[in-house]
Amino acid sequence: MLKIKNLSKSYGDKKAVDNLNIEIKAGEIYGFIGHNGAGKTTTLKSVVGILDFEEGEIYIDGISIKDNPLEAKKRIAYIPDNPDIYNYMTGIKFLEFIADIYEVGDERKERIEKYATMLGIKNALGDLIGNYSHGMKQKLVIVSALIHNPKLIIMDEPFVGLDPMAAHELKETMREVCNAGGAIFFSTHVLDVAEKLCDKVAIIKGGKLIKSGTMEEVKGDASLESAFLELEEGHA
Amino acid sequence: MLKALIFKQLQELMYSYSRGNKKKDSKKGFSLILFLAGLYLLLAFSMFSMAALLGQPLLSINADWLYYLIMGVMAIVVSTFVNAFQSSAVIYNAKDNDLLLSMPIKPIYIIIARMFTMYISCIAYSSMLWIPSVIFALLYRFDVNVLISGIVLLFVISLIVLILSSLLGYFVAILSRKFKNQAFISVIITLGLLGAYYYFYFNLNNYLNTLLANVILIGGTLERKAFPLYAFGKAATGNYLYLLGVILVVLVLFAILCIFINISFMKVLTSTASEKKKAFNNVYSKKRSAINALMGRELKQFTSISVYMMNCGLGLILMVFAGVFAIIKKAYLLEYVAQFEMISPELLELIPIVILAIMVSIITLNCMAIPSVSLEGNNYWLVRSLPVESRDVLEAKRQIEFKLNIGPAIFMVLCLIYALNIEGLMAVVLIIATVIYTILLSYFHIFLGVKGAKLEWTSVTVPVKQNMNVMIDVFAGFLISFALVGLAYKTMTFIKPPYLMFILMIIALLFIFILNKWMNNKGAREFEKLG
Repeated sequence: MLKIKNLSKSYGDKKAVDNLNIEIKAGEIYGFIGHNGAGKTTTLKSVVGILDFEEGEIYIDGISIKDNPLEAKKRIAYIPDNPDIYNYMTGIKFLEFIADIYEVGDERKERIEKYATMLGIKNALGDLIGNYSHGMKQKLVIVSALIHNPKLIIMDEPFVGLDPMAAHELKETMREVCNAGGAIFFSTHVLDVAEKLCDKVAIIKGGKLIKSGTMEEVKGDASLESAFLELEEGHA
Repeated sequence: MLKALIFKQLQELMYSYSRGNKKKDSKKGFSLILFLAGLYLLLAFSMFSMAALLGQPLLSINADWLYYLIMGVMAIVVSTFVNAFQSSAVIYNAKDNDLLLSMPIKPIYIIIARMFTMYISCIAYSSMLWIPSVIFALLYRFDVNVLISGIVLLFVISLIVLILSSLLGYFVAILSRKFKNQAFISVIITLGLLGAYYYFYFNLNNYLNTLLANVILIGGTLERKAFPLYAFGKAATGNYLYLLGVILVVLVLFAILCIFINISFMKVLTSTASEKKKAFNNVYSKKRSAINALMGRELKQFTSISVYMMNCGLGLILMVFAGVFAIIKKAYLLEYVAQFEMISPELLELIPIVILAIMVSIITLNCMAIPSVSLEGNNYWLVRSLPVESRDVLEAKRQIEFKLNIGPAIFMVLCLIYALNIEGLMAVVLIIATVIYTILLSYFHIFLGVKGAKLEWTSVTVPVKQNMNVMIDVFAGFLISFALVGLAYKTMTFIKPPYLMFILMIIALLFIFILNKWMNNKGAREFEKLG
């Protein structure tokens, strides 16, 4: 579903991502963990096509994000850490805008109702986004990510700002997406959630991948937190 | 702490006028300063002409104080008009309000820091009107006391402008929190002010004649019944007693303003909109194509931000007014044109080019596409992560500008064609030229928008108003207009204006082709690199 091959990205002299290799298969929830500034957001944005990269390749469902960005983007959805969206639109207008871009037809109505009800924002869809709280904007962005049935969902710290109910619903939805043949690639600092939710995990430090594999392979008998801290110290 | 806040505001101001270049380039910085200076001089020169029109008769009958009063009031009114809506955005609606208020900073310090940069803007606009009037007076009759008073009063006038525009900004901020369609309300208020301004401007001759015929009576009445105005005028003549009085009064008013804003600032910021929550009515719109969805987004953004509409869309109303004016005042226009016919009948052939030049100069004011790129701001990630080509994103911005402009432009041109009795093929050519130049300007604006794009801003006035490329566009518009008429005049002996129009249209089509290619290729790539 997603293949990152030898990805390198620099900002000036600083190498933010260095020769990263990750492969995510259909049906997997893949966690991406690292300290602040490790290169997680840079990697995710490169996958989504927001950032150019100097070396390597990224394939989404076999399609190169560099050579055929439009086709690649049709298969993915991106949920950033900070849900800056159009304050001048109502919630429903924003969702319809997204649905138009992804060419979602009449089925949009059913999907919007399903996901908006699930996340508890259906009644707020008539309001301006500018009047939403951070959490509501986050939920709206999640709904917008789901309405075109993406094959791959890229999420940057998706649980930030979500209430417990919404966080639970999101986890359920993530599992649903993967069971239907999709895949999820998300970064998080909440290691408990990653430990319970992810099939596989990659740990990045200073732009380099220091460990990846199934949850058991990465953490062994210890907790993910202990394994992470140990790896961080080991590579200090 | 106040120093730090003022420094931050100044940095924001400097950043807003830079061209978005990440590398410091002293040559570009110098050419930027040169350009700004040139633009300033051009506008100041036109104000000088107005000062001469008024000053000549008034100074000759020693009604100096009345002359300074009128010029001072004009400077205040025009500068306040320009700054009023900016003050709402800068003082009350800045993006870093939450950040600053969450810190141990007294709100009054935030207000003072923001008003400081606004004061700089007030000085810039006021000086364009006031300094030429003082210069004219000094050229007419040099007096060192007038020079000193003139310089001091520049800062006093700017302070008055700051006071008035801050008050207006408060009312705009209140309105925006009470009413849903505050953007349109702000535009209606602006149109009202603009209408009043143009009413005064077109009746200026009548007022001037009345004033000159009754100058002693008016002077006496003002002295008795509007002493502050009289005092202002006298202060400008070099009377230091009156000058001191005016300074003290304005400083007291400014202090009262600061107290008022200090009290109202938190109330305004923390007040929630009284509008009721709008229930979702389960009504869904029909599916649109991606390009139509993008255009819908652009239009919604344009109509949601009052300062965007006013700075980049007032020309739409101007064109409609100009068209209606042309129809109503057809006889007056024909009489005016007949005066040129008396000089040389061939000058009438320039009329279509003049109409085209007028249309170009107005459309350059409707430069919605320029700020639209920077207005992506923090939402940039969204349009980049969606399966849309960057060239389609730019095309949507360009098309919205074109579609908004073309209706009023054609209307204005048709009205002028009717009013000036332009017939047959020339009328058709003029309409086609209008369409071509409207397209050309939309491409030019997208070019400027991408080139000077800055995605980081804390106030929406930065991409819309404090945008160097918007200024370049206005300047270019005047330049193109003058060049069109000048070229037609200079070449009319060997190229008849109708044929020149054809040549100009072909040149415009060539530029459209070049800019279209740029937008779809290099421009799209530059847009992608903005993040």
